[in-house]
Amino acid sequence: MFIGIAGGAFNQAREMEMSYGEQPCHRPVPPGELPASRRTPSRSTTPTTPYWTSTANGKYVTQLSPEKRTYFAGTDHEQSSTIVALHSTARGRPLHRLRGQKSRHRNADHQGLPESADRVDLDRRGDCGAGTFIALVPNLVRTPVAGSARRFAGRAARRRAGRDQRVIEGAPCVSSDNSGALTSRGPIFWARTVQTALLCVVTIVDAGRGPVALRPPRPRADVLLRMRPDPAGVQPRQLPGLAAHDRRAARAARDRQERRAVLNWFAAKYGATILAAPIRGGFDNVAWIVPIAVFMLATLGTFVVVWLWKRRSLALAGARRRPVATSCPRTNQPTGRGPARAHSPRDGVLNGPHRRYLRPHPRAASPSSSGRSAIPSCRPTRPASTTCASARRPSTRTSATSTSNIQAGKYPEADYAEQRRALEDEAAQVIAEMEGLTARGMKSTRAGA
Amino acid sequence: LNPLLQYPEMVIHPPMLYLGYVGFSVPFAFALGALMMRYPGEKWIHITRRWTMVTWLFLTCGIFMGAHWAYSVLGWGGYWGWDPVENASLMPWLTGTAFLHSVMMQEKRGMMKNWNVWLIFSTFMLTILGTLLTRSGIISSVHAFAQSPIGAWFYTFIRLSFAVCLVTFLIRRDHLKSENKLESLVSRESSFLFNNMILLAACITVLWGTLFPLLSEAVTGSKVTMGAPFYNRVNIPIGLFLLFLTGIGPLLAWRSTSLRSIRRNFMLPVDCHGRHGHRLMIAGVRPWNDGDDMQSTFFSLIAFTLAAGVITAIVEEFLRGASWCAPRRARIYLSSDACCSPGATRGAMAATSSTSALW
Repeated sequence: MFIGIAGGAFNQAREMEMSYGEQPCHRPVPPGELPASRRTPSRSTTPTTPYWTSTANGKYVTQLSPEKRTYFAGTDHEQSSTIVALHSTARGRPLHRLRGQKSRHRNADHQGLPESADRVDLDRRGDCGAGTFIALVPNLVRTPVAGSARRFAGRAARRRAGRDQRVIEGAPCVSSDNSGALTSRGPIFWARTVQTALLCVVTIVDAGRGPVALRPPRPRADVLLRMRPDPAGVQPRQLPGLAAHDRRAARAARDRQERRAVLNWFAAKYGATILAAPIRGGFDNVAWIVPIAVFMLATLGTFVVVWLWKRRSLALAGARRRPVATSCPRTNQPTGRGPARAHSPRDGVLNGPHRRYLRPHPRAASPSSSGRSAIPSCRPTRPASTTCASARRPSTRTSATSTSNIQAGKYPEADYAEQRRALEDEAAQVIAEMEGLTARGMKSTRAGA
Repeated sequence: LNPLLQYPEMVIHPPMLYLGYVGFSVPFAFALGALMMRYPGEKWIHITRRWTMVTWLFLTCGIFMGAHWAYSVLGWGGYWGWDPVENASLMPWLTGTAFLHSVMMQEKRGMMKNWNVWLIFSTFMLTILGTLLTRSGIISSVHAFAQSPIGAWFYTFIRLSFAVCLVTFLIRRDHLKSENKLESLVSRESSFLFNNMILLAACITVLWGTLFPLLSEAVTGSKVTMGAPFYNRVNIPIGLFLLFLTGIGPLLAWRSTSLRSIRRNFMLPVDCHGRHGHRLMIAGVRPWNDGDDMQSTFFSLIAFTLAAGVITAIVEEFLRGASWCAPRRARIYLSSDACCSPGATRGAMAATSSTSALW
C-alpha cells in the first residue's frame, strides 16, 4: 500500500517535472527516426529538449531532463531517480552507485550515450540503502528543506546587513516575501515535500531491514500465481526451478484460496450469519465503507471547521483593535490546564448573554480603562466589603502558573506578555492603594493623637 | 443464578455499570435545565464536573471488570469480543470521554457550547440505548440472560428524550453562541476538536457495527454477524490516530503554538519515536516478512512506536513542570500557598521529590 501511494505520487511528480520541456515520447522510437544530433545530446546544447527516447535492438533507453540524472534499470527501462530508489528499496533489488566514476556499461546499447557523473547502474550489486539515499540526493537538494535553509541563510544575511532587502530564491516553485514565509506553493513543491517525507520513512524502514544477505527472497511464485486465471489450480510442483521458499509461497497462496472456498461454502449453506464479519459484496460493502467514510469525513470536516474559524477570527482581529487589559481583570483560579480564560479581556467572555448579570466595577468607567468600559471585575455575589484588592489576591499564583506554562510551551507568548504586563500594572495599583490607605490611617492616628 | 454469572467480579460489575449509566443523567439534567432556563455561563459545568468524572470512572471500572469476566469465564481468547452489549457500554464511554475533554474548551475559552450540549445529550441517550440492547434482546448477545419485554418502554423513552432535546436546542440555540473562535490549526483547541471528532467517529463506527445486522436484515432479509474481525479492521486506524493525538495534544499551547515551542516540545518525542521504531525493526518486528500477518504486524509496529513517543511526551512534560517547580519546593513544603496551583504540577513536583529521595 505504501509503495503504491508512493509510486503514484512520484509518477505524478515525474510527469510534472517532464512538463518543463517537450512532451515525452513514451513509445520506443527506432534509431533511424531520431536525428543524429539528438542521439547524443549534451547538457549545454539541448536545454529545451530534455526528454527523448531511443531504442536499439528492441531495448530502449531514455534520457531525462538535464537537471535529472540518468538511471539505467538494466536493459528494460529507465525511470526517474525517485522511482528507481524506492523500487530498489522496497523490492530489495540491488543498486550500485557509480557516481564520480566512469560508467561501466556492459550493454552495448548504452555505449553511445554521453558519460554522466550521476549514473546508477542497477545491474551492479551493492547496498540498497546507500543506493537509495544516493539516488534521492539530487531530488532532495531541490526540496523545500533546501529552500528553507537558503531562505534562512538569506534572512540572516539580511539581518546582518541591516537593510530590508528582498532576497529572491532560486526555487522556481516557491517564492518568499519579506518575512521569509512561503507564499506560493505549486504542485512540484508539494510533490517534493512528499518525497522528503517519504524519504525519511523509507530510510528508517530500510535501515531496519538489516543487511541484504539476511533478507528473505521475494516470493516469486506468489506473483506468478496472481497472474494465473486460476491460482488455486496451480501446484507448486508445476513450477519447475522454484526454490523452497517459492514453493512455500505458492502453497500459502493455494491455502488462502482454499480457505476462501470453505468460507463461501459455509456461507452458502448456513447464511451470512455464520461468518464473523460480512463478506465483501453487495449490500455488505456498505458495512465496510461507512466507517471509513465517517472517519475521513470527520477528519476533513475538522480541518475545514478549523480553517473557517481561523479565517473568521483573523477577520475579526483585523476589524477591531484588541484592548489592553483593564485595571482589574478577573482572575479565575487556574487549573493548570491552560490560561485562565478571563485573564485576557479580549476573549470576549463578558460579551455573552450573561453580561447583564455582572455588575460593572467603578474603575471600569474610569478614564484609565481603555476599550471595553463594561468589563467588570467582581461578581455581584461578592460581598460589598470585598475590595478589588482582595479579589486580586490570587494574582501572584496566576503569574507563577503562567510562567510555568510559558516555560512548558503551553501558553502563547503574546498572551503571556500581555498578562504579565497587566498583572504588574495591577500590582502597582494595589500597592498604591495600600499606601494610600496606610497614609490615611496614619493621618487619622495623628489627628486622634 | 446463571452459572456463568457465579464469579466474584460479577458482584461488582453490574453496580459499577449501573452507576456509570445512571450518573450521566446528572450532567444531562443540568445541561438540559441550563438550556431551558437560559442559565448564564458555565456554572453547570463546574457543578457537574465531579459528577461527570466519577461517573466516567465507574463506567470505566465496570467495563474493565466485564472484560476480565469475559476473559476468565467466557473464554473468548481475549478481553474484548465486540459483543453488542459490550459495545453498548463502550459507546457512552466514548462520548463521555469526548465530553470531558470538550468542556474544558467551553470552560477556558467559551467555545463549542453546541457541541458540548449535544455530547452530553448523546451520552445520556446512548446509556439508554445500551440498556435497551441489553434488555430487549433485539441483537443476539452473550448477555441474553438479561432479556425481558421491557425493550419497548426504553425505545419510547429514547424517542421522547431525543424529541425533548431537539426541541429545546432549537428553541434555545441562541443561548449557545460561541464566544471565541479558533485562531490556529496548531493549538490546543484544535487538538481537542480533533480528539472529539475521532472519539465520535469511533463511537459512530461501533454503533454502526452494532446496528448493522438489523439494517442488513431489513434491507436484504438476511442477518449478518459483525464480529471482532470487522471492528478490529475499522477501529484500529482510528485508535492509532487517537493515540497520536494523545501525544501531541498536551504539548500544544492554547490559542496558537509558535514554531519555537513546537521545536522545543516535540524534538525529544519524535526522536524517541523514530529510535524506538528502528529498534523494533532490528529486533524483528518487520511487517514485510510476516506474509499474511503483515497488516497486524504493521499496526503493532505503529502502535508501539507511537506509544513510545506519547510516553516520552508525557514524561517530558511532567519533568519540565517539575524542574520549574523544583527550586520552589521548599516554599511549597513550608507553606500551603503552593507555587504551582495546578494539582497535576504539584503532584509532579512531589513525585519528582520522592524520586530524587529514592535515588
